[in-house]
Amino acid sequence: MTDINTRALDRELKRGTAELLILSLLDARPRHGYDLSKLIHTRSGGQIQLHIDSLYPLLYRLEERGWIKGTWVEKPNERRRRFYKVTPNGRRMLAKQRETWAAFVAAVQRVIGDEHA
Amino acid sequence: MPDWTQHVRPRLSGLRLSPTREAEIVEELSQHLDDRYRELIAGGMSPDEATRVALSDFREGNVLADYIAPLRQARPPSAITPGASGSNLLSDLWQDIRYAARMLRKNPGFAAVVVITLALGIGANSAIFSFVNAVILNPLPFPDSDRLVVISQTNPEGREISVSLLNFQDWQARSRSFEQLGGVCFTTFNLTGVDTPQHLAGQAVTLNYFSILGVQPQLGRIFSPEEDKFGAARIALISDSLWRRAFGADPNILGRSIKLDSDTVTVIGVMPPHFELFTKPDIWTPLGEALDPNSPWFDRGNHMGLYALGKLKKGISVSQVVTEMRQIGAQLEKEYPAVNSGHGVLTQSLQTSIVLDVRSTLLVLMGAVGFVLLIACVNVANLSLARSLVRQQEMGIRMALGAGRGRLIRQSLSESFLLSVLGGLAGILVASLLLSALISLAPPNLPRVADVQLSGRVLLFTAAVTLLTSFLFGLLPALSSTRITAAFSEGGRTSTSGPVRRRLFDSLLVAEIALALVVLTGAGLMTRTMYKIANVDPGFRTDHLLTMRMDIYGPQYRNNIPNIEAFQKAALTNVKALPGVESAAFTLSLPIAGSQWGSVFVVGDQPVVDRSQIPIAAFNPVSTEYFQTMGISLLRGRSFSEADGPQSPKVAVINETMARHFWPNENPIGKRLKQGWPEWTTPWREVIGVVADVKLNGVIDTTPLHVYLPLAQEGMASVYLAVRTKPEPQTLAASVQSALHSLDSQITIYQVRTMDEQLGRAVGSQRAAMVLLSAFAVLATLLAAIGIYGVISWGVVQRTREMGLRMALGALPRDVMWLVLRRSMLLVLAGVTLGLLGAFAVTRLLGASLTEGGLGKTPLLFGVKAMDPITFILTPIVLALVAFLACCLPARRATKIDPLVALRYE
Repeated sequence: MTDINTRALDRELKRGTAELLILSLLDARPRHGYDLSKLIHTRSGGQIQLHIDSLYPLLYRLEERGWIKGTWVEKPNERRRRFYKVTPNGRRMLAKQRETWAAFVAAVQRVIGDEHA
Repeated sequence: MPDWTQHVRPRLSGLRLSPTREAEIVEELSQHLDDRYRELIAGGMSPDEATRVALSDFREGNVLADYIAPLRQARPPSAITPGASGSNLLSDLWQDIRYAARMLRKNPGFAAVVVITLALGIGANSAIFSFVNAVILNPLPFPDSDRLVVISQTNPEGREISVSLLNFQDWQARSRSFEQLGGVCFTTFNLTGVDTPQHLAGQAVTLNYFSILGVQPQLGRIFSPEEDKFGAARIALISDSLWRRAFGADPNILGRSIKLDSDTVTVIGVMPPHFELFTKPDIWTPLGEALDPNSPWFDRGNHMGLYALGKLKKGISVSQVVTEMRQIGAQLEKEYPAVNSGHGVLTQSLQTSIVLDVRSTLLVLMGAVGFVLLIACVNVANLSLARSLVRQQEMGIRMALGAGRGRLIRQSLSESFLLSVLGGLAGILVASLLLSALISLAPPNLPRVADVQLSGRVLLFTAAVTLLTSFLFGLLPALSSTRITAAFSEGGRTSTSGPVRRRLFDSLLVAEIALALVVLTGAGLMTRTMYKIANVDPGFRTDHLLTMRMDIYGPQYRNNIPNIEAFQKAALTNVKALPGVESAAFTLSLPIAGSQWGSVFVVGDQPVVDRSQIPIAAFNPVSTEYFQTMGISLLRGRSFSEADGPQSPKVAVINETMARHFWPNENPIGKRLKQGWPEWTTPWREVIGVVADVKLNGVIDTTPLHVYLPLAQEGMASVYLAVRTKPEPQTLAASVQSALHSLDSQITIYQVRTMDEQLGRAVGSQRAAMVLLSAFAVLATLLAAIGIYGVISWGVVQRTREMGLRMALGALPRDVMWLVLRRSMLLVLAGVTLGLLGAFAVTRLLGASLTEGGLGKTPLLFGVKAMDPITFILTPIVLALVAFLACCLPARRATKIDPLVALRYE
C-alpha cells in the first residue's frame, strides 16, 4: 500500500488533479487544447471547467517537463492545430499519479466508512 | 471570424518569450477561440455575442501571463553580446569561451583541421620532451648528484681511457676539491654452482664508493677496510635483481657462499633495487682485494679499467675541479714523463658523462619537433587569418556597437585558446602513442630509458607549449581582424586585400618554408649518413654469421693454456660438425663489437720512438680458420695454421693499414714486432701475413692498427665464437649453444647475436635519428605544403576579379597562371634562402658534439659534412618542387575563371 505524503497531497490536489485529468485524457489518444477543455467539461457533468488561461499554461508546463509533446498538424483549408500526446515519461508519471489518486480515494473512503459504522 | 490576435498578443507582451514562441501561442489560442466561436454561433448566438462570450474565458487580470511567467520558455538565457563592455573579468572570460565554443561548433571543419594540426605538433613535442626530461633533465637518483664528477684520462690521441692506479692514488693525495674521491672498475663475473651458469656485470669499487653515492645496502653491510686488502677473504655485495633472480630473495642470503668464476665468495650484503651506475651490475667487490702488488696494476703506464668518481666539497664548482685536476695532471706528466706524457685528465659532471653520447641527438630532435610545432602554428595562424577576414564585418559591427578593441582581441584569443586546449588534449593522446613507438626505436646506448614516461613535468611542458601555441597563432589574426577601418571604408568589397594583411600572409608563408627547409635538411643529412654507413665496407662478410661470447673458467683452465686450447679445439670440432655450419672460429675481439685488447708495441729494426709517441694497436688472438670464417681476404703471405702452436716461433698477421703505416714501400712479411713497452720481455713476433682492413670499433670509427695473433699461442678463456652458416644464422643459435654445453655444462654463453644485429646496434643512434628526423621532416613538409596551398588559394580567390578583368582584356590563361606562379615562387625562393641560412646554423649541431673541453664523442654525422653540398642543393629543390605543386592547383584554378562570373564576384 502506497504511503500518502500529505504535503504532496496538498500540492497535488491544487494543480495535480488537473494534470491527472489531462494526462489521462491524452493517454487514450492525441488531442488538441479545445478538445481537452470540452471533454473535461462534459465528462465531469459541467462540474470541472479549465479556463483557456489556465489550460494552456498547464499544457506548456507539462510539455516543458517532457510528459507530453505537442505537434502542429495541418489539414487542407484549415488553420493548423497543435495536438498533444503523452510521452513515455508522461506515461510513467500518469501511472504514479493514478496510484497516488487511488490511495487517496481509498483513504478518504475509509474515513467516510468509519463515520458510517 | 474575428481576429483574436489583438486580444491575445497584449496578454503575452509582458513575458520574455521568443518571437517565434509568442506567435505559436497566439496561433494556438486563436484556434481555441475559433472553435468556441463556431460552437456559439451554431448554438444560435449573434457574432458580437459569440465574440464576447468566447473572450470571457479569459478571467480578470492577466491570469495567462501569470501562469506562463514561471515557465522556462518565458526565461530565455541572457543573450551573449561579445565585445559589449563587461564589468567582471572572470565572467567575461567565461562568456568569451562560451562564445568561442559556439563559433567553433559552427565551423567543425575549421576546428578539426586546427585541432589535428596542433595535436600532431604538440604530441610530437611532448613525446620527445619526455625523453629529454627523463634522460637529461631529471636529476640522477643520488643525493647531491650535482656534486658528483667522473674523472678519466685521455691518451695522446685525445681518446678517453681509464685511469692508471698510481695516478689515481696521486690524485687522491693531492686534490683539495673533493669531499671524497673513489673509483670503480667495470668487470664481469660468471656465477657458477647454479643450474645455468650466468654471466654477470660487476664492479670492483673503492671503499668509499657507496658513501659517495649515498647508498646503503638494504640487507647486510658494505665491506670493511680489512676486507679491502689484497689477500683478504673474498666477499661480495649482490644486486636486488640477482638476489631475487638467483636466490629467490632468500632472507638468509647473508654469509652464504656463492661461486664466482669458480672462486668461493661470501655474500655480505644486498643493495637496494635499481642501484646502478654506468652499467647494471649484479656484483660489487672491493677493489683493494684485487690489487696484487706484483700485478700490472702497479705499473703507472697501465690503464686497467679504473674510473674515478668524486664528490665535490660544498661550494666547489665543476669548472674549479676541472682546473685543479688539469694542474695535477700536468704535475704528474712532468714527474713521470715516460708514461704520462701526452696524457690528459678529463673531468666531467656525472650527469654529463652519462648523457653525453645522446644529448646532441636529443637536442637536435627537440629542435626538429619544435620547428614542426612552429610550422603547425603558422598554418593555423594562416587559417585563422583567412577566416578572420570573413568575420571582419562582424567585428566591425561590434566595434560600432561600442566593443573595445582590446576586448575583441581577447575574445579572438579565447577562440585560439580553446582550440589549443583541444589540440593539447589530443596532443597528449598522440604523445602517448608516439612514446611507445619511440621507446622501441631507442638505440641501445640510450641511458635511463626506463624512466621515460609522460610525467607531471611533461604534462606541465605540454600545457606551457599549448598556451604558447594559442598565443602564437591567435595573436596575429586577432590583431588583424580588429583592424576595422579598412573593412568599412571598402564597403565590404575588396579589390585586393589590404597591403598590410597581404604582407602578413607573405611573411608567414616565407617563415613556414624556411622552417620546413631546416628540418628537411637535417633529415637529408641523416639519410645521407645512413646511406654512407650502409655502404661502408666492413672488410668482411656480415651475412650468415652467428656470433656469441663464451667464458670458460675453473681450476683446470686457470693459467693452463694447453687445457684451454684443448677445450677450444674440441668446441670448434663439435660446432663444425653441426649441419648447416660452414666454418667456425674463435676470436678475442669481434669486428664492429669493439677491441678487447689495445696495447702499445715496438716495431723491430726501426728507430725507437719517444714514449709519448709509441704506437698503439688492437691485439687480437684468433683461431686458425678465423679469416676464412669471417670472409676477410688475405692480401699477402699466409694465415695461421695448426703448426703455429705454443711451442713454435711466435708469429703475427697484420692489417693493411698497419702494413701501409710502417712499411709503406716494403714487403712487411718477415718484419718483427713486439707487444708492450720496449723494456718488456714479451717475445718478438714475425709478420707472416697481411689481411684486409675490417671495421673493429663500430662502423664509423677509423680502422685501427690491428695485429692478429694465433689463439693457440695466447690462451684466452673469454672469447667470441663466430660461426659461418648456410641457413639463416639465428636458426643455428640453439644447436651451437648446446654443442658447447655438451662439452662443459659450466661455461657461460652470452651476447648471442647475428652479425647483422651487431651492425644494427652499432648504428642504433644514427638509425633512430634518421627515422625520427625523416618522419618529422615529412610532417613538416606536408604541413608546409598544406599551408602554401591554403595561402596561394586564398590569394587567387582574392584576385578573382582582377584576373577576370585581365582575361576579359585579352590575357591568356598562360599569362594568368604565370601571374600567380611568379608571385608564389618568389615567396618560396625567399623562404628557401632564409631556410638555408637557418639550416647552416642548425645542422652544425649534427656534425659537432657538445662536449666540454672539445673532446669528441661520436658525432651523429658520418661521411657527410654538416654543410654537405648534395643535401644543401637537393633539399631546397625538393621543397621548392613540393611548394610549386601546392601553388599549381590554385594557379590552374585561376585560369579557369570565367571573366563574366569573375566581374560579378562578391
